[in-house]
Amino acid sequence: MGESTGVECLKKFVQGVIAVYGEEYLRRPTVQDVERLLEIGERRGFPGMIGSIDCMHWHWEKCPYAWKGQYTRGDQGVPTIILEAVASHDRWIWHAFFGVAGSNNDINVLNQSTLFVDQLRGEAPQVQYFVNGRQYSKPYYLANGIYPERVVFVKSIRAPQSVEHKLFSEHQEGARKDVECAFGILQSRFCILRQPARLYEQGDLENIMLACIILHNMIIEDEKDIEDDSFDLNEEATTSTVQPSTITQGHDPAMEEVLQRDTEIRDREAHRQLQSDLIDHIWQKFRNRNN
Amino acid sequence: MDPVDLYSMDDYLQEQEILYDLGDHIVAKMQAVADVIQGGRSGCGFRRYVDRPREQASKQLMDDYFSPNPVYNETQFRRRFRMRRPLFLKIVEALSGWSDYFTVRLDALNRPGFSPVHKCTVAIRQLAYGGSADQLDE
Repeated sequence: MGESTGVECLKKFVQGVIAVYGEEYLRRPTVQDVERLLEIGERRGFPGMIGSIDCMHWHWEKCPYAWKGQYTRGDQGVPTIILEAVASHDRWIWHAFFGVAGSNNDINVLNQSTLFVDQLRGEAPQVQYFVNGRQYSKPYYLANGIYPERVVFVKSIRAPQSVEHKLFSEHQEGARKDVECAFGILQSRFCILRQPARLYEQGDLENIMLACIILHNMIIEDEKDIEDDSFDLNEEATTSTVQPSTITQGHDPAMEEVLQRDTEIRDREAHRQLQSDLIDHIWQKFRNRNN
Repeated sequence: MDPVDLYSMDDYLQEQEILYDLGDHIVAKMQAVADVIQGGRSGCGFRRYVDRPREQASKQLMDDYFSPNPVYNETQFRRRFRMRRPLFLKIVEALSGWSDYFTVRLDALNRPGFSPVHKCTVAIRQLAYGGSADQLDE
């Protein structure tokens, strides 16, 4: 097949994959999905956790010369485009936001991202869970140091001193690796994402990235039977409950409600409270295992 | 003033001669370029035509991976396509329903184009190996 036909094929293929499978394999977590994610999270010592979040860079070789400064960041050294993703323990990618210029940091990407749109609109499944006897209603993601202190992120402790903090950091960092593993698997499955991108249009790159993620999720679902469930099933029953949202989709939410939810998400006090409760919870749960 | 003092018949003839010369010159040059093209390439114009044996390549692909008794087994299929065969065929089928591009179409000479399986294989190869599209030109 000739070169131009090959490129045409690739572009049509990724468009087709997004059009046909995008809705199903890049969906927002449904009630059943959230239930399963919470169950897995709870078994690993993080009740209320629905994934871990991070960003990945893709080198864009054919970046227009005039845009080079905008797309280059010192630590990468070359023009890149950023992918923000949320992955769960089975390496399924729940959220993908691609196309931010490479010079931004993870906070700026997060501010542009569509990650919390459902929650702000009130369309996300409503969650209730208990940590250390206290009730919480916002599911959270595990994040690394740069992410802001919000109730929807749980971060590690920078220089843990006490044994409780050390144990918590160990578990948080171990569980957060899900997203790094997912990036690794995605890149080794589709080498095009590891090598410099040779297409000129940013839209084509976005399509390729999304199609790769959709195919990645399809392959995970297809090969679920090969994976063995390594979790211990003799654990105590889950304490979290998931309800479908009371707000119907497509309805335009009132501005005050959206602002109210936004303030709740950004609550720094609640973030600290949740972290200290999780430290206690993990200490009680895993204290005896290490001895 | 008499206009003949400014622009006489002789002047006019002289200018005409220069223009004719220029015209001849241009024609000669174009002819030379056209001759070079005619000699160097088959057909006319700048488009190069490569006759690729599509049918043969398609048959080879089917024999290697998709026939009931393929040359390469399941493990090798999964290694090269990054997914198992039923999933790949499911995707091909869905794409055929999505767009005309992923169906077998005939060209003006009633010769079939690339098959959908072939097109999807090419796309997956580019995604999976990250090679350039030119690598697949065989």
